[in-house]
Amino acid sequence: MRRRDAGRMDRQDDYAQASRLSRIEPLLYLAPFLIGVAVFTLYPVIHVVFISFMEDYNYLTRAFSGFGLSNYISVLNNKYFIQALSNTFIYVLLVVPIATCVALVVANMLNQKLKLTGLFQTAYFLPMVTSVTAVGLAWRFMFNERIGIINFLLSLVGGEPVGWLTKAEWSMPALVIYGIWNILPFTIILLLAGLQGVNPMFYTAARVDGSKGLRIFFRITAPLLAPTIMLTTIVNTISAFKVFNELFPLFKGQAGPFYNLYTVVYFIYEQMSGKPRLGRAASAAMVLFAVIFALTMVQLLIQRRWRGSGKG
Amino acid sequence: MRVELVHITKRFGSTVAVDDFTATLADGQLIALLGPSGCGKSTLLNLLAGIIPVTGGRARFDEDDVTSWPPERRGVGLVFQNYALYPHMTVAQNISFPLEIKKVPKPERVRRINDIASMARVEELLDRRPDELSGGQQQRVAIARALVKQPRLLLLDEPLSNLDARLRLEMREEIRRVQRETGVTTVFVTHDQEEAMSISDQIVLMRAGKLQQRDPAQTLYHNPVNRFAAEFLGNPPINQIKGRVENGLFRTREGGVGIPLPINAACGNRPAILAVRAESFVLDEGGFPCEVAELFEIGKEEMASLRVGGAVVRAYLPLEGRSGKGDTVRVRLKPRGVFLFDEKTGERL
Repeated sequence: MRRRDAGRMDRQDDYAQASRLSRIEPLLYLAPFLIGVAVFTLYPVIHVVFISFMEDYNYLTRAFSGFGLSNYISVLNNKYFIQALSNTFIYVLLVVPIATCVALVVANMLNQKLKLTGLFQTAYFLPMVTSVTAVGLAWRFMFNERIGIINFLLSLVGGEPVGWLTKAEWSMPALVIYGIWNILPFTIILLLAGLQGVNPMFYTAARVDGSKGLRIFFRITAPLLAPTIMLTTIVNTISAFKVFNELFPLFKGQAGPFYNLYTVVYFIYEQMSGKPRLGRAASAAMVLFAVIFALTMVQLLIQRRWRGSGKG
Repeated sequence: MRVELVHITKRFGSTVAVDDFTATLADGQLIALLGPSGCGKSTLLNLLAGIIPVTGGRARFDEDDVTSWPPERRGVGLVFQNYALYPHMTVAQNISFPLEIKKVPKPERVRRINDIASMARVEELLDRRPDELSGGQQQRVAIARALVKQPRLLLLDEPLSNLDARLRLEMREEIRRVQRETGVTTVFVTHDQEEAMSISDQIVLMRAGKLQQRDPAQTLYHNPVNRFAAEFLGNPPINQIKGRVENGLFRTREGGVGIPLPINAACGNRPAILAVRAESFVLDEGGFPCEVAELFEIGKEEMASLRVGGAVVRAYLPLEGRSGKGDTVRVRLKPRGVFLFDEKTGERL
């Protein structure tokens, strides 16, 4: 029986060799990208995991005294890190829901068949292609206590000038407003695409069934849009947890006017200035990762529940 | 409910979708809106539902002038061509939706959902999602949802066009049954003359936005007002021969035999079209001669292609075994199913 199979085996080997080549070929095309990802993403990510557990790691000599949890203990006992964590949570909890609601309203308006819709659509998507830093600097001018347009508009309705960027209590609102503005275009684009994917016959059906206006939105549009809303919420939550770029232009590179706006990523960044504390930075990054991961899982679970229950 | 349409006109830009449409639809009937694609029948249905506004004319439901009423006020049930079941709701929730909007209390809601579900025969499906249903089941659910609010008027837009042939036959009987049981005035749009003929009480025939004829199916078939109506109904399509009437004989344009007409035709000497249904030919030794061009057998039917003058017509004739291709047979026309139309205007003569 063996002998009889031998010929077939040979042939199979030939096939295997040929298909192995054809399997390698696409990998060669992908190689430049894959190498880039491996060097600049994969390796650092894995390395960070290791570093976070290394005791007394010296990044120049690469020496360390063993594995342990001391970095995590140090980070979780650091009051600036705890402050950064709480600031980040507040930021996420404000920015993501508000931005989602505003984006829903705007996307709905853009989805109406009105004159100038095309113009508005372009205008709303413009921020996506402008530099975050340039836009941030523009916002710094707008937030300016004495000459900023925001305080000017406030004064028109009788408001007192607000020290957006100079007072501790107003710095978070300023950051949140800027953060919302920053993620709006992306959110609007996705929601608008989602809205345009809703077959208009459902609206007609709902109208004939006797409902109109907001009820159609809550009973028909929103449930049909739920997958898109979920997607933007998850993506926005993740990006909001990484709030850092937004701080720089507004507060001249500081974490708020009185260093009161520490965020997790800013904390990580600061560990690397002066005397680098690589271990602490790495473990802070891991904590952030754990938080984002856990929250994303919760969101996905909620989404599955939501669908399963059929409440829509 | 009686529906009265008076000079209803709908324009989209420069195109006229519905042109000066006047008709009264009687209470409790099943009415087919029949016509070729683009004849404005779906537009007319949407006008009835109030989904799109009319450009001109009035619409009345019984005593109410509903011309400017929005759909939610008109109390119509609409079944869409693609059913438009809400994909995020179960069957029960879909049927319940119109009742929730009307704030019907829950116990009554449950009772009405169960009643309508058993009538539409979807009780077993109440907990399912639309994407778990077959086409026929979705259709039943869509009808249940449209009927649960006890509409004054039930509208169905091409209700059978998304079903396969077998299911189509079944569902059209279902629509007929449900309509009889509820007695609701029902208008359904179709381009399929057989569908319209088989279940409707009245057929409203449309062409290019204009009403052609409104009659029961048999009347429409046996007494078409114009060439279009004669042409649109019946399978095989009615035979049409161009020519003129001379002394009670119809002479084809190409000349040849004169066909004795069994009907009165006072039409002078103008160019006319003789339209003859395939079943209106009979073999008769005293009839006019024609040549057998082809013989077919379709199931139990025997059909022959005959050459009359220069024209070729199809006729149901029992020729099998008696005559073959190329033979000459003598036939005459029955009075029923024979019409003369003006060649230019298509009007019945």
